[in-house]
Amino acid sequence: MKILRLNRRDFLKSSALMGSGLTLGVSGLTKLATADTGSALPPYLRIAPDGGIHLGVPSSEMGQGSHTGLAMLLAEELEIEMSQIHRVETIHHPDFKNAFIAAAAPAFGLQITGYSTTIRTWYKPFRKLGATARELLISAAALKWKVPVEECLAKNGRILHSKSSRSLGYGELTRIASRIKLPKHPKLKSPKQFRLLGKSVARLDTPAKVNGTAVFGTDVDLPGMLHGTVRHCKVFGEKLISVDDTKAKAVPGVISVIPLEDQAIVVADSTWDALRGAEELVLHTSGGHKDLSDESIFRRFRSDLSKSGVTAAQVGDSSKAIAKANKVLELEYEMPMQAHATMEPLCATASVNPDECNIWAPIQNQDAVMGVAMAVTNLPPEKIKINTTFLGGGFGRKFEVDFLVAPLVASKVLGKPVKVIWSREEDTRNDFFRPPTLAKMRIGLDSSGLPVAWESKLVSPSLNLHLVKMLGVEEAPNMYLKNGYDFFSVEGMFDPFSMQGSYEIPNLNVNYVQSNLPISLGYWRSVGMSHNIFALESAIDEAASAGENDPLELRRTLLKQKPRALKVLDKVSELSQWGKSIQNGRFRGIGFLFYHGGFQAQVAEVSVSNRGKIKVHNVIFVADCGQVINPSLARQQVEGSILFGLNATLKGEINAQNGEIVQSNFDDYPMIKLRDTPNIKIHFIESQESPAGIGEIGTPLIGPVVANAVFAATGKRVWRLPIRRKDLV
Amino acid sequence: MTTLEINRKNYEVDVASETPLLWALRDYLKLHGTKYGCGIEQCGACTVHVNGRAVRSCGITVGEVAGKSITTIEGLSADSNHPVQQAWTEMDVPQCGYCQTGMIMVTEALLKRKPKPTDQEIDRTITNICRCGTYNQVRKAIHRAVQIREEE
Repeated sequence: MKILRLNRRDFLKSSALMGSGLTLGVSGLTKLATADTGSALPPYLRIAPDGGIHLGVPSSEMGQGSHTGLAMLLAEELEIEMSQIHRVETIHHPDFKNAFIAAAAPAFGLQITGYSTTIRTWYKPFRKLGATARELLISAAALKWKVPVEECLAKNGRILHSKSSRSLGYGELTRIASRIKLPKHPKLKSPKQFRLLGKSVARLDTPAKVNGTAVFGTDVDLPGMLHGTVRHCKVFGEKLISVDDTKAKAVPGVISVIPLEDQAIVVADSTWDALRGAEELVLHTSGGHKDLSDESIFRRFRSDLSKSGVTAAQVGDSSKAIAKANKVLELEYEMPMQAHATMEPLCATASVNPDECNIWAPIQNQDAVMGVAMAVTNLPPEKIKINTTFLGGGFGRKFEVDFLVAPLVASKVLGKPVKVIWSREEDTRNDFFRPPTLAKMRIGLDSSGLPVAWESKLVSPSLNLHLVKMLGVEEAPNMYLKNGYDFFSVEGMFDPFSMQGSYEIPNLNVNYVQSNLPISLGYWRSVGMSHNIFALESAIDEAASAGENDPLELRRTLLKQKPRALKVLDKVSELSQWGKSIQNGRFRGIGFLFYHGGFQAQVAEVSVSNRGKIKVHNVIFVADCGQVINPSLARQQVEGSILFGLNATLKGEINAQNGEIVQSNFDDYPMIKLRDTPNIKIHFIESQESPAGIGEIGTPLIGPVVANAVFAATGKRVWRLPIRRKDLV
Repeated sequence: MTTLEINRKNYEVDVASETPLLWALRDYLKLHGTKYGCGIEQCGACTVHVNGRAVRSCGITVGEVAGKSITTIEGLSADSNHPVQQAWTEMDVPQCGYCQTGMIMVTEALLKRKPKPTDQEIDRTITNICRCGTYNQVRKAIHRAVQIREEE
């Protein structure tokens, strides 16, 4: 396959791949020192002879609408209707490194869908791709008609020449266009010219998702494919010595049992046979941390509070200021583990033979999957093809690559394609959980109740240690992980990013003690924000009540230098009728958050029964997220991310006991249902600022907002989420 | 061999009669629109109709449904034009979409029994789990489906 590099710096144009159509690719957008995976260059943008657009995109579609959002960026500039986009697929390609993350930490600059970065990373590049194609097609038409380029116009997938009333479809121009030099500086449209961006354009994946034809990871089906499942050792750190598979192999349909280091794979004719076989396995194990429990973890965290730790943020002199303070608050917040519990359990399909490897899987981290495939198959990257299916939820779990191992090994051993699906129980017990955390604050208030000093001591395991290990990067990027510091452990707690939009307090000290655990821990929608914002926004509220200030007014005072934040607070005050009378028995709580470049406030209206049952009636959400690309998609993300956080506020938690995870399925790890769902009122402030990330937007804030409302209702502070009835009665 | 009537067609399936309907549908008949979520009738992602009633297919065996009329998402309409599917599309309900076929099936069974359900009836009946948090749109889409049915 011949690939012609016409303009290395900006774009690639492939003559061999385009057939009778036109293919363009984004390239050179990121100058990263990452290994070239060497996979064949796929067409990112193919204009078929019939004018239909096939688009390859970097981001996985896990429900957040990335396929639709990226297609809109292209369609806007290319002057096509969304109906002309015939196919969007996630493609694994070296040019699709996540430049947003790479800007902060080049070693982490991989093809990654996560950290709410799709639009922030690809907003310009995908518009530029569309604009380049548009200018190319205009040039092609001008050439064909022998008229000046300026007289030609692109509209609805056609180039028009009004003077001569001629027009040609894009599909009819691709042959000429493929011979024209690419424009170096394609002109992007001004926001005033937008037809699509800012509009509630329908999702491209909805039709397949309402008729059952959408192919998720569980739905991959290949000729001759076998079905498998896994059974892991139960205790943290336990290893397999041997497996007694006599009973498992007696289950009709079971073909093979393959032991790995900490799990056994059962392969069968059907998933049901494999699941029954797995139940019959007897695992003989050794080692493991049988004494590990929530109790022992938090006991250790409490003793770690006395360790010196590393300074994560420092402003002024907090200890001096606390010594002089009018009032000092000492507060402690703890968070247990949470599971991702994607509706689609972990699954992947592999077809491995001595010459090549094909993978079909719901993944957020294509480059790391490549690494696993190379390690298992010993094949070079050019012999490995990674196909990303729809994800039945991701939330950070499918950023991990552990679930690729079993299908790759089984297919390699058995010489047939193998699809492996985990049972819900295996999925729950073997998650990469949100880490357990402990935060201690000391807050000094002045005579008017303003916090003048704020000390936070945070104890939690490091997530970046795990990331560095998974990606096999030689050295950790400094700003994320060094000398015991870990960005995700302090995220939101006056870290350098969040400080740009957060409270101004003259004396600050944030100290982090890394306390690692032999439990698999990972990135749970909103990551470090999830625990740190609970602590921060609960503590601010507590400072307000200790200083006899209104919680909204105190936040306004501390944000007085930040006009975008004030606008958000004013609007939430208006929409929630903050301070005004409210239906009998209901109480309000508020919170503020600067996250992924957006300013946000939430108010929750809550009632609490005598027996401690909490009902969240309404949530009012206001944000300035810069330009909103698609209000309908944004609405989905706001509602979804709020409910994700509310689940961890009101429903289940994950606990360790005797070295094992206690919970296993939705009966003991309950989920929010329709009847628990509050009304959610959403308002976006009109803004021309660049788009903020919205994929995790509401998750960290709803917890403290509900906790603050519960305080208003009961006078009881919440020190731990989820809120348990026994804490309130 | 068991004969199953699925989407108005008869299929011979060579599975043990205690096999859950879910796995017969998915692995033998390749009807992948019905999803596995929990295997213990908690989440509803595997909801199908058996004789017109919503049933969680992970908890019912092939033997139990033999001779009964089964409908899966693939048999709900020929071209996605069922009122519930139309409402789902109009209201932009699905996010990841994994649970939505189950949501649609349970909704259709509800509307057959209660053509105009109240919010309380919806709360009681729609106990399926959606981790993306589409619930408010699900509720709106159910009310919209009622309108579409009335218009038709």
